Amino acid sequence: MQRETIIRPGGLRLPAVLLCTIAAIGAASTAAAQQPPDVREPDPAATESEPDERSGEPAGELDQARRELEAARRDLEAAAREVARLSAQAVGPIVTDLRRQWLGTGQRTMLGVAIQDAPDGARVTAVSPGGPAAEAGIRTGDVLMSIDGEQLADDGGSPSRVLIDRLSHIEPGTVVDLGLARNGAEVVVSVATREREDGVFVLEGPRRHFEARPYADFLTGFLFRTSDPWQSMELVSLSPELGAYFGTDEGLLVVRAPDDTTLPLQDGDVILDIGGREPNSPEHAMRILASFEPGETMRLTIMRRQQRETLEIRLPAETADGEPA
Amino acid sequence: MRARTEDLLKIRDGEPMDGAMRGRLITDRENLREVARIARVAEDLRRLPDVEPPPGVWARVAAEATASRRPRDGRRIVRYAGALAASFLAGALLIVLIGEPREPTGGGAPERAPSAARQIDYAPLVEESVRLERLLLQLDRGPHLMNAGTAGTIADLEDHIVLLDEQLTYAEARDADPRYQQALWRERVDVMNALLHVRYAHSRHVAD
Repeated sequence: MQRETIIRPGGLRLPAVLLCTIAAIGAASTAAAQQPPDVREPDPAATESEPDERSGEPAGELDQARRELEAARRDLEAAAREVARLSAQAVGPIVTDLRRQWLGTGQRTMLGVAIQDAPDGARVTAVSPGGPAAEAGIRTGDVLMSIDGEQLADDGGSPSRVLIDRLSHIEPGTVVDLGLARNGAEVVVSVATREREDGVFVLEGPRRHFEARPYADFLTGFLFRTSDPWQSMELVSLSPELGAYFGTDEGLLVVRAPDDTTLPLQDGDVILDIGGREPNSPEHAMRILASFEPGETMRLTIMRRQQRETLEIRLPAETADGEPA
Repeated sequence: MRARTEDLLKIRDGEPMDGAMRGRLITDRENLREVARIARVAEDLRRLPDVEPPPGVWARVAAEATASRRPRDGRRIVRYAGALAASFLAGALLIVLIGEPREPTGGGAPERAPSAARQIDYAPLVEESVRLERLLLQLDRGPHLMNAGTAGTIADLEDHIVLLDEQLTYAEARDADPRYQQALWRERVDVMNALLHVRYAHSRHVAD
């Protein structure tokens, strides 16, 4: 078995790259903070640029600030991913058995809540941000009492188990009606269930000796999309006012098309559906796009100059080392 | 053919498996590429030296956090994001430096925890999770211009949390050892915190 790189609790052993990143970012930020903008070395491009009408700053300086901001944004997001990865890695060895059993249940249909048994139902202890329940307006503290009219606490058993069992017999994507109690009132909320994303289960092993890796590594299969060809694209959901200009009242407006020229989107396109699925937010669009494999062909329905078009896009293939071809 | 979890677990545990299926899994080009990539990453990581945190890093982070001057917009945002990333990564140090409890069982079923384990109190983690959820809800989530990279990061973190919540539900329904729940809640708090940072930075970017 290959040795795993694990952050060991209690020991001050960290990947050097993480520490270097902290130091580099911290030093850069401190240096920037210590240097007032008005005494910086003059940037030749900035001194020759016209002032920006809105801010009064030279355009070159604004461009530079934008580039730095973009780099800082990438740093922050890389840090967020790293925190998630490290946490999963630290917790992984503790919950390995539980995760194996959970994965083994084959449960495919998700609501996006954490629940625990309560006297009259299943109390919601957490709502997954962006998950089905969150989108339906379910909140932490609600008590789920029924699903499609079937009471969860009827037989005196565990309401949580009843709910899990019901979900195991429902196809992902099915809309279920959840009866819930909130602040003394009872309401029914419709929730569009979602399929569990296992992502990529990472394999490791020399000489074709395969081995299932811990959950932390399993997660990294979809926690790192650094080679994503869509990364540079900028999107915004259409408001009714914006939509009037583009001939549709729904979809995602492409404000900036991807830099990758093999992806034939243009600034001003409105994405209506991706492979038959209608994205309702930039995050949702990225979920859908990420479900396609490199080299796969997808169909995008768009509005371009107020005309409906279908684009057939073959995604860039990967080389053997996992990078874009 | 991409390997399924159950198949991989069978291979790992030496359980009986259809020979043809096994052959396909271990000769599939996609799987082989993934193995090669991971092996390279693992090798690169192994070559990294173990190091101590550099002296002064905490002081730098603290100094940055208390910097009070408000320069012009572009620079202010960059400094803000840089400081946020730095302090956030420093926070990552805490995640791995805080001692973790040992794995609760010797590999058996996670149910039927010993009574002593029942004393574990993870309520503070649950409270922190609720607090982070509340903060997240307070951020404006209206339609804003969003970079696809940011959208992808948010989607990944949210998907991570969805999986954790499913596991928390499973653990609760199985009456699992509280140490499992404690570990899962800790991971949830960490990932929620990461998500909040990214969402907050995005909302600041939009606001500025």
